[in-house]
Amino acid sequence: MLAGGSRSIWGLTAATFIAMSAAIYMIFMYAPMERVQGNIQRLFYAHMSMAWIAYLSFFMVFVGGAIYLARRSAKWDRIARSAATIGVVFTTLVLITGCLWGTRVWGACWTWDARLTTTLILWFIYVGYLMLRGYIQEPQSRRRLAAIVGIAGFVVVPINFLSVYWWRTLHPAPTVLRADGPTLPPPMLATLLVTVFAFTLLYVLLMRHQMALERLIDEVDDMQFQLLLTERKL
Amino acid sequence: MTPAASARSLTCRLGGTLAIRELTFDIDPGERIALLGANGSGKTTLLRALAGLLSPTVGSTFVCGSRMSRAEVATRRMVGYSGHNPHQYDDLTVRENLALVAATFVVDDASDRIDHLTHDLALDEYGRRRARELSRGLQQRLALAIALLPNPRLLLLDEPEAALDGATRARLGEIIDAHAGSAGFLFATHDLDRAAALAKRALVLDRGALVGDFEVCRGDGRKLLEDVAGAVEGRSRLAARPRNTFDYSADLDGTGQGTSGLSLGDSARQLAAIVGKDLRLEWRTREVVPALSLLSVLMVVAFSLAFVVPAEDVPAVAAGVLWASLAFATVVGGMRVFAAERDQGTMEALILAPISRAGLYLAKASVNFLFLAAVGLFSMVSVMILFDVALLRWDVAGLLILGSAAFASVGSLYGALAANVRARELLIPVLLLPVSLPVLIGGVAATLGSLGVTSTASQFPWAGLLAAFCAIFAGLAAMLFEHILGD
Amino acid sequence: MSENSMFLLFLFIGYAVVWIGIVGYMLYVAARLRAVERDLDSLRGMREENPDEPRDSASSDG
Repeated sequence: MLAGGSRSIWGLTAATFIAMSAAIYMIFMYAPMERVQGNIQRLFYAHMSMAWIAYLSFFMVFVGGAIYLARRSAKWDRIARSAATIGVVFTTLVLITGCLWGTRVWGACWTWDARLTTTLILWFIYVGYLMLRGYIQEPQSRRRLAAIVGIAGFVVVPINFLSVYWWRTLHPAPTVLRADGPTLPPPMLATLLVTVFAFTLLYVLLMRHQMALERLIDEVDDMQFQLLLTERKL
Repeated sequence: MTPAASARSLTCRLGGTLAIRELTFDIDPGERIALLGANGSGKTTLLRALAGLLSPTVGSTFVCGSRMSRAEVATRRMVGYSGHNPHQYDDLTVRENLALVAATFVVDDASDRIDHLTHDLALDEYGRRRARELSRGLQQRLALAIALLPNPRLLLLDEPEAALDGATRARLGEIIDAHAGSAGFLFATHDLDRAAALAKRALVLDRGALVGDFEVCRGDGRKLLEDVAGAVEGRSRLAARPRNTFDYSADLDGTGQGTSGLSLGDSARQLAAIVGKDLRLEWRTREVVPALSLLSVLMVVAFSLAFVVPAEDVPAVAAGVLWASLAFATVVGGMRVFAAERDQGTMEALILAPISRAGLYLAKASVNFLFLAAVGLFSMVSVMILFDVALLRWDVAGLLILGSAAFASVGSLYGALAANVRARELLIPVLLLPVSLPVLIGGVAATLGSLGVTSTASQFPWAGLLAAFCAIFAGLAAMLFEHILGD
Repeated sequence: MSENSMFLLFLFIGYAVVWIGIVGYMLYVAARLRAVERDLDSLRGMREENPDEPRDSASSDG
């Protein structure tokens, strides 16, 4: 009964599958080979899409934490912790693909440039977030404290980025979000947009599964509590 | 009549067990109630929940008609509580401890009340002794004085007579009459004779459930023993007492919040009292600053041994070492600010004190800042000597002070956050270092500017970054702090 | 190995890592889901054994 087995989840799965197939086709068949970097540049489409998912996830951790603190509803905590898990998974993949790409293009797996460093710091912050959750038994304190770490961790992202960016930068300049319009050739841009769309669908799908899991975990917890409440009457 | 305290379906879960379940009762003003039950029956949990130290898993508690919530300063001001953890600081004298409580609870005629209490509890000759030098019984009397000093409307004592001598024990009722006569008074005890002498009513708990609630025959311990045994065996007299019909529905949405009844001056005095307390304790114990300073010098030594530095790079490396040592001092020091309270058991006192949470954060962050600034300046001198770089300059000192404020703003937040978490000595570095990296970067970059390694003008935007970081985190922490000081 | 085939190798490794990562994560979630469902079933079983208990309170979530 993955994620409740509803019809919408099958629709979503199908849509993700189709979009992802289209993205893979476009990455390898449709998009032209980049002249300077060669075929390795095809890694960029997934790399960039996963980075987008990672940042979106961490934003959701922030939103979920803030709403949880305001409303104290377990649902928003589930959203935050599902997003954190997915965010960490994707950040890890972004770091690995970035390293592979960098090895071929820059000749080094790692450089201390602003975006790489910020991403690595983000990875540390949200691994810490997940660790903290594991260290606290009592569900309400766990949710509360995790929400605070999620909020503080996200607030520091722009400051972190700014400070590292001023400090040193080697990463290619932004290619899509620029004031004078995108510089990517149209086929590459189309490929990128389709890939981002496919990964966003994948993200929604993964979020639903992870949330279903977290909901069951909360349900087990609730039921243990109910059993405790009544056990004296046994 | 508004009850002094009420519990409605009060249920508290501690880990995997329910310590108390579905308790509903009222305590009238001036009523004295003995809380009875075997070990593990939930007496302490009930007292802690009524005091506001534990949030109920289900149900709610009310003090004088308003819902007990940690965020509400006015409600906390009406509660006097003494539990198993002493709320006094070992290295403050008896009078200093009482003066601190008087300042945080904003007690009127504080010095008169302190004189009276120390006199009635026969503590006056120990006024200038540190709490750690007192015997167990004297410490218990001090704890009693601390609970009574704010003139509470609800007095909660956990085994108050445990370590008291016979004379004080015999006068306990009289002392409570004199200092909290109109308060609802609930005390946990195992001594049924004392309970029968002090209380008019008894609540009996058995495995977390309320099994008896009845009038006590004054002075008749044997009768009380029979009643308690009867209640535990199920011959309950629970329905004997009609429930108070005070209407709480008006308060269910948490009205009354924000009316702390304290002026800005009162709040400032509260903060000053806490900062003063921490500085005084540090002066007496010399616990934090010397150890952190030593640690930071050790870091400098370790760094200078670890790196082979070409002569022209020495200033750049020195700046990095200086800030890295301060960052590590932050990690260790941030842990200390709240962990020290935790070790002493005084964290409870801070949580119960009617101080706004933002204020408490501000006080702790200020203390942390002063400590870190001292460590930073110390480390500046040691880096200057060991690296032979002309670091002793006003602009570098200013940057260190600014950086200490930025480190303190984030360090105090995470220190408080992890104070209750197990393995905090592992967790705090992992959580704190990634978010404080902008301060490290900003500090190093600005210092390089002032040392002339990079352009002199470049230090100003970096100093701005430090200031902005400090402001953002202080604001964020002040907003979030009420959510941190939890169970 | 030519420059281009090196690029292709890295490209292959890159996408292999991405898909192994995502599929591995999905398998992990599925395994956890099954384990938690087992827990839930055993808890439900414990409740079935005491049919006189109030049931309505269990539906607090949602």
